[in-house]
Amino acid sequence: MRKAKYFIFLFLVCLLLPIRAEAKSNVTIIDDAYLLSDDEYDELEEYLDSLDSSYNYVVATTDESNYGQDEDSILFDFYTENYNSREDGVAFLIDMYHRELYLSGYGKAQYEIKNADAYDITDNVYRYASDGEYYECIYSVFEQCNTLINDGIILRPMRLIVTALVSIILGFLLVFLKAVRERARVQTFTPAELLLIGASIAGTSTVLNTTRRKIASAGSSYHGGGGGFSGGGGFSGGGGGGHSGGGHSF
Amino acid sequence: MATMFPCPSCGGQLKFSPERMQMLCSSCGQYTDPRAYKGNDIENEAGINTTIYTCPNCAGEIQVIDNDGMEFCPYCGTQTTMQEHFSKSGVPKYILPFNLTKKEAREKYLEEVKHIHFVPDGLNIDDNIDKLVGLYTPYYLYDYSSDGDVSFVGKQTSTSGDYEVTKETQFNVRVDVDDMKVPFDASQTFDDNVSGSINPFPLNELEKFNPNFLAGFFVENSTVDKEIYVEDALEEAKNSLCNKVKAKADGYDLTSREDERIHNDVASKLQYKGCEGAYLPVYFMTTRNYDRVSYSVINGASGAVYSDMPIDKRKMYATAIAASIVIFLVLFVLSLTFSFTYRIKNLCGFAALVSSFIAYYGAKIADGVYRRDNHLDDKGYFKSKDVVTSNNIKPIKKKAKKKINKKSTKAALSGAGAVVLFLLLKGGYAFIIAGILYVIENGRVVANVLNVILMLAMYIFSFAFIITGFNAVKKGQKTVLLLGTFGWIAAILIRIINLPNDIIYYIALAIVFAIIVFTIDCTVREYNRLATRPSPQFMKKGGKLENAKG
Repeated sequence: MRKAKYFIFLFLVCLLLPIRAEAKSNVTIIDDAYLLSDDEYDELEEYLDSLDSSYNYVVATTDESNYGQDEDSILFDFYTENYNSREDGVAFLIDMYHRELYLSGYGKAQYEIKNADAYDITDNVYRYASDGEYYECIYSVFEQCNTLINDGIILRPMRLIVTALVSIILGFLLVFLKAVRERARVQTFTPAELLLIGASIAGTSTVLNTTRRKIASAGSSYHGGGGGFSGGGGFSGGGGGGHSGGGHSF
Repeated sequence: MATMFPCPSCGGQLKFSPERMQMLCSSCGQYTDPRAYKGNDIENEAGINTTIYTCPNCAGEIQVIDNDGMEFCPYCGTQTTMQEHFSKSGVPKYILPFNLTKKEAREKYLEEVKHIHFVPDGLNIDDNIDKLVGLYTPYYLYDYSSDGDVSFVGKQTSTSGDYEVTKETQFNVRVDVDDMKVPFDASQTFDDNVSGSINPFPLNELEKFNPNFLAGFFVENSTVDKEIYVEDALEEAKNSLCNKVKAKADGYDLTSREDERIHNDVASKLQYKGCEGAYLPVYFMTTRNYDRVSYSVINGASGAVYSDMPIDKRKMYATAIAASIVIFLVLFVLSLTFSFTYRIKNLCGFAALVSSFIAYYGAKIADGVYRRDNHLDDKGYFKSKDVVTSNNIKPIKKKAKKKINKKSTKAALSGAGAVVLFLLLKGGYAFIIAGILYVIENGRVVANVLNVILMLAMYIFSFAFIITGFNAVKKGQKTVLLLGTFGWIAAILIRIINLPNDIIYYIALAIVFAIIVFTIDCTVREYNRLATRPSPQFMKKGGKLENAKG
């Protein structure tokens, strides 16, 4: 009977756990810099609620110096205050003190919104922040993140422009250098051949001295090092708790 | 005019045919041995009878013994009626007959240049290549002898099992050379770097001078004093003999002291015997390019080819645009596949590096143009030793093809291996492993650090390029250098100002990139000046190979 009671208790505990998890919202907005009006706050919350509920969404604004911390760490702290860093989620920071935007993906979101994507997205929205349109900025960031999470395509005009500029320079420079290199083949200075007549150059040699020195063997120490290195494999498995991120000044 | 080389069978005109190394009658097709043939009053004690054609445009002179006249100047490429006068000219001691027919020379030329892109349309068309002129060019042969022993010590290190074995060996080399002939071109027309590029001539095939080998070809007489190259020839002879002596200790390392000892020993035993003249065969083609000319020269004995080859900008830019499109597609697809992007601030570093590199490269080319236009690497142009000395003209550096030194490569690899081994043995492995773990755990931090290092390296290298460029340009035109420097400064300024608005950033950088493209265009223009020469102006006096008798 005591055993049955014990199992019932455990069953109830198990039932409670998911109830607690469901009760916790996947949307967190921390507007420490007071950039959003009440209406904007509500609208943003409503919008983020409407997105894929299997991801956490964190929006943070700050106007403190956070001395010694970069945007990535600041945002990481905001995210981990509310969720585990291994949980899937997207976090976005507007740092008014440094005038920086920063976007991070956690859990599987870090593979859907990679560093390059985070940079491209903040590239696309920094003008809203520059103009003081913070709501539009945040809205646009999560809209683009949602597109990427759902395997969609976002516009990357800045990446296109930069790739075009780099390609033009490389194309012109490489083609020119190739042309010069090809021409160097028919302009190579070759030393003249001297004509030797009645020439005899013969040599004899005598060994004066031979010395032998034992080489220090390093075999055993080296193997020891190998053992240490293989241990690193276990560590790399723990790297899964990382996150992606990228930002832009405004 | 009656021919000076009448065919013994039909009286027709004989011309030397390199194909069979015989004289071929242009009327009956019969071959005659040039070594046995005696022509009509071609040569006597005073020299040979020649017709000299002088170009009214450049004053270049070309001699013909028995030919059909000249309708264009081979030096400046001008289509003109050459002024003709008769002369009795001295003869050199040796001649190297043509081994290649004009057709073979043409094929050699086309074979060498067929892989070259963006060739100006007119350069390789048949009409232009048909202007190839078979020309005997004057050379001086500086003669040395040597008799004596050279002794030195070499070291060789090898491994045997767990032991390193060092062997110290004494070498005694007996040097006995009756004649060592060092050739230098005695032509004012040929830039020394042109004659250097068609080396070597098979001097072992030299023959005693015989005017019959000249039949059908043109001749350039020397106007360069033989004293000009005496010191250079001595240096060549010393170096060549030193290398032959050192080759006897192949596989042994020599200390710099031993090396110097060999050099001094060899130098002290060299005896200057005098200077002799020789005609060496080349095929020569001149193409006019506005106010400049480009030369293509083929060694008439070995087939080695030299060519001034300007770049056709229109063709190059068409390819550059196509290449840019391909690079754009590849980079964009790669950026999507491997998910990388560019940080606009890093683009400033890239722009600074490219600008500075072009500035440096343009400076090098400008210096080359200045040196070439002023014949600073061409002693022969100045004809006399006094003028060479007063102008401080140096012989051009002999850039022999670099051989990969297996020993030094091995040493470098061993060095790198030793460093790694040292780290592993002395506890450095812990540092390395910690570093790897740090990379795994803190990939972002490391990526940022690497990014900073890369950016710093770009700015440091770009600074070095600019400094080296200003040092390299000397008296050359500074257009490319200044444009490149302007682009470099602009890129750095944009980075320092750190514009928050990307659009302004991009516009500013686009302007820098436009400057870079314009600088590349100026560099191509400068290269085309390097690939051509100013139309020559000769004032031929002095020299003459027949005077080279000691």
